[in-house]
Amino acid sequence: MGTEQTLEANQLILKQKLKVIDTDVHHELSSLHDLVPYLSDHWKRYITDYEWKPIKTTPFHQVRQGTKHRNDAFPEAGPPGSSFELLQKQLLDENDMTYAVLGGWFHECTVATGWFEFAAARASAYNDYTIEKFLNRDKRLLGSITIPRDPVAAVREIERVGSHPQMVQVMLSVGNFAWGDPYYHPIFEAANRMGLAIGMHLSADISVSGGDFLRYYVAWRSAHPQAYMTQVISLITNGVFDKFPNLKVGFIEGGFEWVPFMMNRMDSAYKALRQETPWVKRMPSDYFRDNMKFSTQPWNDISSEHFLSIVDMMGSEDMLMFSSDYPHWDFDSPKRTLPPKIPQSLKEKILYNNAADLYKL
Amino acid sequence: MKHPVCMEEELQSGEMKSLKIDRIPVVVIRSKEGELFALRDVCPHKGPALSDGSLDGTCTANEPGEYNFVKDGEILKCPWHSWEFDIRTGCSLFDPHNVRVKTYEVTEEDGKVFVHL
Repeated sequence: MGTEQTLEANQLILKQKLKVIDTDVHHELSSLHDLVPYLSDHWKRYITDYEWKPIKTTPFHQVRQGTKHRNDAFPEAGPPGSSFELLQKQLLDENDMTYAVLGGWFHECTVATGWFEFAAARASAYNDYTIEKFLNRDKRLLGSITIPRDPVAAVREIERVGSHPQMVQVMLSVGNFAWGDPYYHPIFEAANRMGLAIGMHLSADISVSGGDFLRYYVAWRSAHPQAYMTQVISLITNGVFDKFPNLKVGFIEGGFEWVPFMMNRMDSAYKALRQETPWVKRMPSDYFRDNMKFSTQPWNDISSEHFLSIVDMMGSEDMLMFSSDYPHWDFDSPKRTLPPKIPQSLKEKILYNNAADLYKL
Repeated sequence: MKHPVCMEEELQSGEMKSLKIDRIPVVVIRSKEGELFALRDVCPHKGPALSDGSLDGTCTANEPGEYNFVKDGEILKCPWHSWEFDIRTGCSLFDPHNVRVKTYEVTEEDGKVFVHL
């Protein structure tokens, strides 16, 4: 599509007013010291006195000013996402959003490979920070519960903050292990019991076949859907949705064009290999349609025709939900993302209804 | 039509100035070498102001592992998705024939900078 055509089509979308839920927003700490008020005297020393810092796992750096952030999302002080006021104005008000789901950016304590006691304390402090500095200040903001990977501590944290009326999901960071393993099932049980959804979002530890980070950022980023495929397959084959049929999982920032392919591939394998996992009672594609949703960002610039074909192959209009990834550099605007020539009813589902269903709004 | 932008000294080397002329957003740039350029100040992809992005250089290579730093200060990079545009031509670097930003003539007269629309 030429530039002029794109601009013309975008003008059309700008004129329509639709309700929007943004399912991927990153609020941030202005510094690790924001956690201190929520840590016990024992743990806070690691930040105030012992210079603890999260491990940086990837070997990359962005080729741009503002690193991973939109250049226009910097508050007067602190990193993008750390100012409630700017997030409220630039994301919620300017885009006229009904709800935005904060996923934060604190996966490090979820993918940490040991010292789960401190990881649990950091997760709790981050959740308290999220509640006090963001959720309690605007009802349009919804929250994700950050957890440590240890299931006992994770369940404790879910039970501690899961009843906050704006907490809508438990965040399972996508790293280098698969969450479907029965070891983690108590986490799904707790989320299910508390009426919470599961959100899965990539962490800086997301690794793919072919070498952990594939040498270049552009390669690693292109391969992220691989890791999401692993999670989907792991949840289904380990019977998570047979144990918890009402549990719903949102896969955030992992792409969606691959979904119909995997539905077909898993169905095909299931026909031959069902006996190996007899606890899986339904065709895999049924779990995709009934228990999973996928967010739209980062939007690949595909045509209306191709997009509609993908939705058709999914066999459902209820599986996609809009996300912006604010304030990251690959932000998608709700007014200028979905292709213009798709039915209004489908737009409404993607921009609002499907996420409203996932989060029971 | 010739439109005044600013005094010459208000646009130094490596700086950008954004303005609206008859409701058209325009960014005027003085390169590191002191040359003036003007482009439409809208990214054709998703629409943010290119002037919220940065002036940068870019890299070319003939072999894997090679980095040749070129066009220092002559690449306008979008504040959102990092699309790169050559300030001399308005052409994107990834698909110069199909994706581009409109450019305008800029002149300096009597100590003032003018854009021609």
